[in-house]
Amino acid sequence: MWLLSAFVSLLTTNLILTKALGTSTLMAASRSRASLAVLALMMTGFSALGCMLTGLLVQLAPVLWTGALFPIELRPLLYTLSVSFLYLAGLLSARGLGRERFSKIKKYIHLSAFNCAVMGTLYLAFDLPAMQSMSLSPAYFLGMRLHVHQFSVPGGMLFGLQTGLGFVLAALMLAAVRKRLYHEEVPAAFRGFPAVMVYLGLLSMAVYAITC
Amino acid sequence: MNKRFSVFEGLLGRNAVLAQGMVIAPIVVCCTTLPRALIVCLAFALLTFSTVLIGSFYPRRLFYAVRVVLYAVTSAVLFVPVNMLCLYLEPQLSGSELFRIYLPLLAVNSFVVLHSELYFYRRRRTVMCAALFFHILGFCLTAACVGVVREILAYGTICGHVVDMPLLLQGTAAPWAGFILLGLFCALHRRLFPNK
Amino acid sequence: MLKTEFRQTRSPEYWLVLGTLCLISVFYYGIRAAAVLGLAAVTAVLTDFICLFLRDRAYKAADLSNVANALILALMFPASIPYSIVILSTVFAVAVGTHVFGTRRDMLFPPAAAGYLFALLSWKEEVLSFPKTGAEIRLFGNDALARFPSMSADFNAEGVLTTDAYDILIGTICGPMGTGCLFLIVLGLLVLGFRKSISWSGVIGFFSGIVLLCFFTRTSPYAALSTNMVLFAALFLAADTNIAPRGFFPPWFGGIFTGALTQYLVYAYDIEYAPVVAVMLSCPVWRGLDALGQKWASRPAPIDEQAAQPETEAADE
Repeated sequence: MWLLSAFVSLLTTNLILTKALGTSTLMAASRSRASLAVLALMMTGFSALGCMLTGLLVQLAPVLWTGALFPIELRPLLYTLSVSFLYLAGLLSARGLGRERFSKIKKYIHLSAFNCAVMGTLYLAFDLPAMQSMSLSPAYFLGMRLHVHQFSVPGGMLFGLQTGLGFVLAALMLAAVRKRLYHEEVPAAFRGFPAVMVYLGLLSMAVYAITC
Repeated sequence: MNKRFSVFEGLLGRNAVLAQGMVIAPIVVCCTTLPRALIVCLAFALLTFSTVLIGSFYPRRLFYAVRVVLYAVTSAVLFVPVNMLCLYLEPQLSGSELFRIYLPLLAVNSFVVLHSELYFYRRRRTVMCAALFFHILGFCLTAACVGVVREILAYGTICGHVVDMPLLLQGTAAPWAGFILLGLFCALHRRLFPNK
Repeated sequence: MLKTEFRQTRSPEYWLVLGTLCLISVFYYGIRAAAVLGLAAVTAVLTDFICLFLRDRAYKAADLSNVANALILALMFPASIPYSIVILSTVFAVAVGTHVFGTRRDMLFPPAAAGYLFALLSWKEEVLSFPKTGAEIRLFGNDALARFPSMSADFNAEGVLTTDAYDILIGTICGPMGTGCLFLIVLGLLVLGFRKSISWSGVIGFFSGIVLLCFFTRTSPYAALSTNMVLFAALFLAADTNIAPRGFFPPWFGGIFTGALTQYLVYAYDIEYAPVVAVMLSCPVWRGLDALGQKWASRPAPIDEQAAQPETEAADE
């Protein structure tokens, strides 16, 4: 029962199916098992760590989000700096794995870091209207209500983790039918990317019907 | 097979959205009406053009990763006046998802962090500016078309002016319709401009 | 031009069962039901023809499978649904649900499910309000017709099934045109199951999943199976051989997943179209199970069997 609840929760909060964030990375991830595994891990890592870092900033300096001293328009700069820090840290850590492994991994780090899904996670996790009122809403993870604050470090981390898992689920759902969408039976005009868009649209339709 | 480069290819043949599948999210979610689509176009055009142009002056000696970070940070700084301009033009949309999430996301769109290095910075600056202009125009054309179609189908209006629609499809304002409509547009684009 | 070559995608028994359900809906809702069903069928044929023309393909007799999809879609609608919604959702089901992805066999999604969700999300009120059986519904001008929520919606809201079992069995309930007559649907399941026109293991798995979740959600299996289009979806959506996984175990596991998801959606979200949503969301899982099943079937023979072969050959010599 919990598995079904988690599955439906991952679908209804899925950034790709509900917000179309990270679609290009999704297509890259579904190409092969290796790229799926590596990209999924990196996306999840960047989302979770990015949310943790931003959560820490919120705890240390909540005034940054209220707009009193700091223009709200500079919020993208804060998030970009957070992700940039993680991106450079990720590349430096990957260099420590050896030249050969680094040359294989670095393209995934480039794809995962400055990505709509990762950046979108930060914007959604620390949604401005809710934060300006500093409401004490609890965090949710896979449909379970948790005893941590939504805008805290653990709350942010769990949101990022959930986003990453949602990406993995969407990538698996696309990988299951990818060959079929590139098959010669599919009309040439639709083969590949257009069929993927329609496929995602039909899945998104089903998810939307749950909550409409 | 290497295709011959043309400055105009970004407008139709190598359209960023329809041919290359880039910057999909704002079109799928936000371009539900023509005014919203135009705001997305304006923000995208200003951010991308200015960031890529400024980024072309950054020294190539720097590491690739550092350059990418600089492009993203430049775009995030330039977002401030762009956001203010968009808010001034459409103040009623200020609390919407468009302004809270998708316009800020345009600051790190794939043109800025990926495509600039792979495509634009390999050309001379004048050629780069012209090619960039037509790529941006191609994106804006797509966004506007999607916005018009969805506004007519979902609300029966164009820019708020009522069009005589016998039946409204309210669901076309939702993201699922954006995906499907974009897929249909891509297929039409492929039919008109097949890859040779 | 209709060619003489006839490659069946639907068996004659399938058409018989579908036709019977169409007849019962006409019996209960009158000429309007016949008009809706007829319009859906004609729209499907025309849309098929146009899409095949655009794909530079000839129209073949087997393309009538989309007529079956259109009838299944129309049977899930109320009899009072506006004709324009019928036309648009049928066009969507045939064009987007079938032709975008290529074939009529090995389909990715049930076209009827795709068309139904399209109609639901675009015109929710019209799709989910139903006239009573026997109500006088004219061909045109039914604005003043009294419409009510379905029996399933009442059950989901209150948690108690107040409708008489006899009414549920013969289908004189407030709901979609063709999904209420459980007697005929169960008969259809048996006929098509024994004739292997539907995936038997898929149906058993689907029911097993529902009953399993009923244990957790403390719902009566009788109520769960007789409401929310469950039996209809089991017959025409979940067990469709053009969509369900192949073999025995993959459709069984796929059916369990779909059935459990259906019951969960009913329990957690109170949605009366839960089987349709569950089938759409299960399709990627079914494709994954298909791939696993094929991988399992094409695995090399165990080493013992391989080693036994040269010994038998030597013994023969």
